[in-house]
Amino acid sequence: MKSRLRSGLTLLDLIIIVLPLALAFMLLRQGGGTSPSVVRIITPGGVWRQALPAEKAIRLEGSLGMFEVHVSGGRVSIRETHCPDHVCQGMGPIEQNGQAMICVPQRIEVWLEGGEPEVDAVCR
Amino acid sequence: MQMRQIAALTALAAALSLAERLLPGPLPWLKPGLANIITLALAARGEYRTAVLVSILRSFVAALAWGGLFSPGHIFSLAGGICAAGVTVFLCRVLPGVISLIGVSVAAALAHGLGQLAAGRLLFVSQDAVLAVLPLVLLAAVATGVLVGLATRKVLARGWLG
Repeated sequence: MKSRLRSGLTLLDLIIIVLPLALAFMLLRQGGGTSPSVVRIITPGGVWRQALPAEKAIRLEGSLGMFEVHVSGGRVSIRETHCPDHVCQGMGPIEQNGQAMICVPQRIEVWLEGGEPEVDAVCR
Repeated sequence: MQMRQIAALTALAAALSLAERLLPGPLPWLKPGLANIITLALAARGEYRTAVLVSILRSFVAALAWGGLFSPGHIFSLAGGICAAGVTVFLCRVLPGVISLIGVSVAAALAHGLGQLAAGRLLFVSQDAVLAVLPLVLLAAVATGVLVGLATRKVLARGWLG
């Protein structure tokens, strides 16, 4: 059986293609640009902040076990984690303001943020 | 459609879903969504129920085979698959005269990505994280939607689904 849809591109097709592209470019233009000054790590046990640049390996507890965030200068990556697919490791390294690495199984988020760091490192 | 045909199409969709997990890509969570070719082709032929059924069953079969039944990854896949199948069926049924396979495919890919983000938001992901990922999801959806739409056109033209 053949398709019941139109064979050529229609106006509705173009709207469906162009609108999300325009929205995506608008959102991308809003964020980023400046250098990050803080890495913020959200875990089930609390929030950790580390001023940048730094040379540090931060080991914290996620939902499924320990994970390690490696900070080298302004670049941040997840080195070890006890999640099944390691998708979060593939999201890094990150180095621009507003970028994030998210691990849903471990329930952790690693963010790079701008602004003036008040302290070198803090956990709550 | 007979049960064995549904089973065969589900197996084919699950195999495509599993195969693309092994493909290297620029982002680990960015996949072309080749299994949607089956859903889209069925819906375009007017087999709406089968399209939705295969989409849901495929998610469970792939999760069982990969070893992550009801894991966050599976819930994302299921949520995205149901949203994509719903949008596909709606557009093919209600607006067949004003939209092509490419438009339906891009709309389905957008629904898939947004469904996954909604599931993520419900599971754990913060609103900030959803907004951070949203532009990438939109760009990826348009690219993969066009790709899947073109592939589906080929599949239907060659009569590969019988």
